[in-house]
Amino acid sequence: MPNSFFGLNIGKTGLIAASVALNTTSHNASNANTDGYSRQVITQTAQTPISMNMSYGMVGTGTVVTEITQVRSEYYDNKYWDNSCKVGYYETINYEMLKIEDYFNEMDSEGFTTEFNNFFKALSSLNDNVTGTAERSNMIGYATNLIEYFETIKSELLDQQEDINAEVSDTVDKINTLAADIAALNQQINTVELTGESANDLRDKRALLIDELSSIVDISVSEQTYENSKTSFRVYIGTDVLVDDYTTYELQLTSRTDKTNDTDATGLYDITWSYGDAFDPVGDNINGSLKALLEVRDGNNQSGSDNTNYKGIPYYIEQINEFLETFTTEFNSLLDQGYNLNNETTADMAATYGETDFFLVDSNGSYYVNEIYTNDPDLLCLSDSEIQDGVENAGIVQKLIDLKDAKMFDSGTPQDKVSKIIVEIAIDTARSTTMSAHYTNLEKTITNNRLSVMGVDSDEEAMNLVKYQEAYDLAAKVIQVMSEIYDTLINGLGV
Amino acid sequence: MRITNGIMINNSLSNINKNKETVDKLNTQITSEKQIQRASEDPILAVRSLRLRSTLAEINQYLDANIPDARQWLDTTETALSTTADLLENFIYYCNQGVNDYNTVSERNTLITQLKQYQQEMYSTANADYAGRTVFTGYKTDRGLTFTDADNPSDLSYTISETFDFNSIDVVNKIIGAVDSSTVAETTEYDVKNKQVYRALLAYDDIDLSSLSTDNLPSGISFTEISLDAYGDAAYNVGTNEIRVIPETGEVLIGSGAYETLKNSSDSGFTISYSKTGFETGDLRPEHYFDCVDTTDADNPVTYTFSEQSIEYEINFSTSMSINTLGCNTFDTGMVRYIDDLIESVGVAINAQNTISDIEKQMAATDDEDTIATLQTMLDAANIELAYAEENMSDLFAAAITHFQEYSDKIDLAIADVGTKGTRLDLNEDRLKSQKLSVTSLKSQNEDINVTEVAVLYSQAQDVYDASLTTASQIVQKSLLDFL
Repeated sequence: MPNSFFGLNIGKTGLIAASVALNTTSHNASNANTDGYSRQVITQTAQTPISMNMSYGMVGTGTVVTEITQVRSEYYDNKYWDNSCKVGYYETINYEMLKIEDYFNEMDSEGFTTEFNNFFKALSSLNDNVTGTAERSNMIGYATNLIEYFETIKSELLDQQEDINAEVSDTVDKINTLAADIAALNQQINTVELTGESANDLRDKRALLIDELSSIVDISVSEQTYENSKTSFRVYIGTDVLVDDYTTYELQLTSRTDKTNDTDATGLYDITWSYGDAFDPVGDNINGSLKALLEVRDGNNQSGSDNTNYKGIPYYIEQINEFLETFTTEFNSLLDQGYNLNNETTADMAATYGETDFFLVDSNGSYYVNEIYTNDPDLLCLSDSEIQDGVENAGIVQKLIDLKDAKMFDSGTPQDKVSKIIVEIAIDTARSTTMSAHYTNLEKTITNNRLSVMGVDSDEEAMNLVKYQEAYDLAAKVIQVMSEIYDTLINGLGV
Repeated sequence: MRITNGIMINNSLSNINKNKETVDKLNTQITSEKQIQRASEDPILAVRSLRLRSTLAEINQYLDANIPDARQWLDTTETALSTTADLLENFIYYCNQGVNDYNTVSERNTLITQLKQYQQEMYSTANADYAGRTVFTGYKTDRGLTFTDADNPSDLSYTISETFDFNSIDVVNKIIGAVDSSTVAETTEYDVKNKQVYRALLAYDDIDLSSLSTDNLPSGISFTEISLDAYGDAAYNVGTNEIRVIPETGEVLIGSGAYETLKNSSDSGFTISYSKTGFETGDLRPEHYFDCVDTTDADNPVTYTFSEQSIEYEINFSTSMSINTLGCNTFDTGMVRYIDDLIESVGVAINAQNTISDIEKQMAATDDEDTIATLQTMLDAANIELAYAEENMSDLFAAAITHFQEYSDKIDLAIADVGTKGTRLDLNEDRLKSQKLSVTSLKSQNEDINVTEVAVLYSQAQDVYDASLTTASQIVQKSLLDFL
């Protein structure tokens, strides 16, 4: 004969199960808007039936909640992390390239084309009246504007390079911090799960940290479960290990003493692992915002060690310098062939004035217009024969005007060269805008898919509340009925 | 697929954001009236736009600065040249009628005065300038074509090299053995001769003595300097194979044999170098015409090499035009020198007349038969001299008319040339104006928006945005709990 309180027990299991379910549902409902929360479901099974040796065979013994698990799709998680580093990469590149494009300011009124055109207009007016002091001063003024335009861009690019450098430092700190947190969580999860429980919320926390890390560097995650339900969790950056269970490997920054490119800012950081190996975040298949920062900071469009094969800030600074060097050399050498209003050539003036080139470079690589001409425009050597043959001789000015269409660069005329620079920036920026939008769209879809699996739906939870409340009410009713039965049995029959 | 509230909210938000992007983009387009704000939005359009801007800037430079400047320069030139052309026409007319009407000494003196006036007027517009730069002097725009008072020409000295060729030689008659009324001597009519010589004129008279040299003279011809002060009339007795230069008058006399040699010679011509110290205001500056050296400051001589200097203005793409007219091609040295010749010939006639009246006075004053007879021979010779002088005068004036007609033609040619240049400017200006129109419209087509089209799109985009906001608000508010 079964235990008299058998039925009561069954009711009790139902009550407990329903209350656990209600608790889980209320946990889900409260965390409906928590970032990275994956909904938890209960696994409810019927308890082992017992044999009664009666005509009706096995008898059910009620229900038990065996575990509360989180519903999460590892597949979508991995997809999200793969995509996230590309999103991080393209967003960062887009931001930096837009800044670079703004420095050139080409579509607004004060870009290169305007300065260049103004300069050659001044030269053309100078050709019409080569002895006029006003025309000479005008030309010198516009030449100064042109040079200052480029020098301003160069200094802004250098500032940006330094800003990016600081950001690299911050990013590496973040990586190290996140890695440390992940390792700490690994320990906590293992401690909890050794007892057989599932550390749902801790895993959510860890996954959230990995979400953040994945947009910075290209990571891959591997988790292995062992027989004693210990798990081993590793995070890799490429092929290097960042977190190995409880140990983290830190990244270090060292300031460069030698500049990779002559025009670089001082003290740019190199990243290495603390155990000495080099850290190469800019390999072909690696993405992430750290790679974007390093590419823009170091990109000089050359391959080989120490070089970064991307058109970044060093590349553009070098292109500008190339333009300035060739253009100013051509300009200066034409002036060397001329005579000024005092019948001197630049060679004659060297004794009195020292440097007689029109465009000069200082020790930092900045170009500027020689002061002697600003102070005395008559010193400009614009006649191509001695001054007694006539002051109106503007032979050198005509040659200077021809510089506008001279094919002094590989890419053609000066205008072509700068157009090429601007188009390169424009194309890279346009590409990064498109790719950023593309991967962001992808991220949205993947997020939706993730949410579809692990997100909390308030309608579902509302329904669950009703369902489990009914179950609870029913179980309570069962207990009430059983209690009345026992009352009848014990008190009524006196057994 | 299982849809959660989170998914619906995410989708709503991202769609609202997309609509906002469209609204923002159209709004920026309308307020800036440009299709793109940065080159990355459309790189090809950006580069095309920059090229068009560049072209437009160059067109504006030609239209607004270079062409008007050139036109002003040409106007100045034309005014100066027309004045001179009128003057030459006037002078030719005067030469035509003047020579026959002036017979008495006083009338002939008046003739000389009037000739001198014309001489001074010849180069009056030669120093015309445009904004302080003289127009006829090639690159040497800081000085006039002639000396001005400010140059202190009497202190200046130059060494000049002139080139002569066969075509610059003409035939003149010189009276040799003019009667001297102060000496009573028996003269025959054969003592007064009217010698025909071949002669060319140097650009200047009053040349420094003993400063002459020559170069590239065909062989067999000798070269000498004969001073008029030293030799008098006999200076004009040039030998057959001889070339003589008279420094006081700047005349180059060529013997008949030398003339034949030069005629048959295929050389480009021989040069004569000389120096002259002390110029006058109104004299042509040598550096605009000849290779010369300014030796005023003996320690720092300035060497000038003559070349035809052309001031080029850029009036169109890859098109430049020479805007200046050279004084050496329009204001010839002969314009003043031939008048010197005319003045001299009138002077010779006046001398002859004075000699005659002087002899007549002497004849009336004496009773001595022999003296009277001697004076009579002198009188006869003097009359022949006068006849020769008047004949020479007549010939010279006729020759002058030919020369000045040539000069007038040259100036007319120069005026026509200036006119042609003006026409060329006009043509280029028209072409540039229509090019500017088409480039501006291309640029606008390229960069600017069609305001009506964008305004319609914008209002459409706003509607879509409003609709998305409305529906989003409705989704997020409801859930199952409202109905339980």
